[in-house]
Amino acid sequence: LIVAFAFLASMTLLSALGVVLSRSVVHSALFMSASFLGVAGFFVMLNAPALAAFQVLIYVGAVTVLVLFGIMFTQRPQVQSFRTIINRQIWPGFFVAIGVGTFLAYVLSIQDWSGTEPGNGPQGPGPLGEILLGVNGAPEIFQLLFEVISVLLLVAIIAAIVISRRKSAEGGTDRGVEE
Amino acid sequence: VQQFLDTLSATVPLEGYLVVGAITFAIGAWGALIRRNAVVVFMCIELMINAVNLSLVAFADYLPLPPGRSRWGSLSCWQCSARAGR
Repeated sequence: LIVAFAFLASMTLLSALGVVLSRSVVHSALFMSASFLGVAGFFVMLNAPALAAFQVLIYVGAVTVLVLFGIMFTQRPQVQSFRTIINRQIWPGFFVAIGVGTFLAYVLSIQDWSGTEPGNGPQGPGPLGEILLGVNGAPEIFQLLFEVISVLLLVAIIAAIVISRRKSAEGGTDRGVEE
Repeated sequence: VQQFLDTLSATVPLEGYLVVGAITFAIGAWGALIRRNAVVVFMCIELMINAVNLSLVAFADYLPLPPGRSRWGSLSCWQCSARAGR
């Protein structure tokens, strides 16, 4: 387990550094997907296989494709020199990030975490579905959250349809667009 | 040799996951501060969101909670707010 943890941690952290420091935007996107894969491996180690599957599907699949489409549509991917990809705040930003990281790591390390052991929490997709739907004695607040998130996603889908129709109607017919 | 194998197969304490999440968060914050490209800034924000996700799942697996508390709802809220932000 230590070996798997070290491998996943090095993969996640090196890929995160690659996102920040790579000179090509496409390479940044690919490093980001590698970092997400490392986090998915952590989810498998933490007894959450359903979340690991969601992580691979949504983040590694959908978000990376979305970012690559965004890069393709908005800008010409080209390798730039290191001086032009950063603004003038590299050293203040570096010290701020180092401060934040050391503060968080120090606070989390001096805290006494004895008495905690792995293996708690719901395990598979079956208990996850029961909790989200509020059956079998699960708290009912997650049912409300589930419905709210469903409405949010529906609003996002309808907004995407509206925006794409309005853009496509600029050139030709504007049937169905009310303005 | 046996002791070495025992240390290799020991379980990871909670601090390990939390420190990895903290360092990933710091790297994402650094990138969001220094990069010029807006898409890369979005990617660094995604890194920070994933670091918080990792620490939430670690807490949910390690802390002794009653069944079904504080794990899936908060995670779903995080991920859907991240998606709606795009």
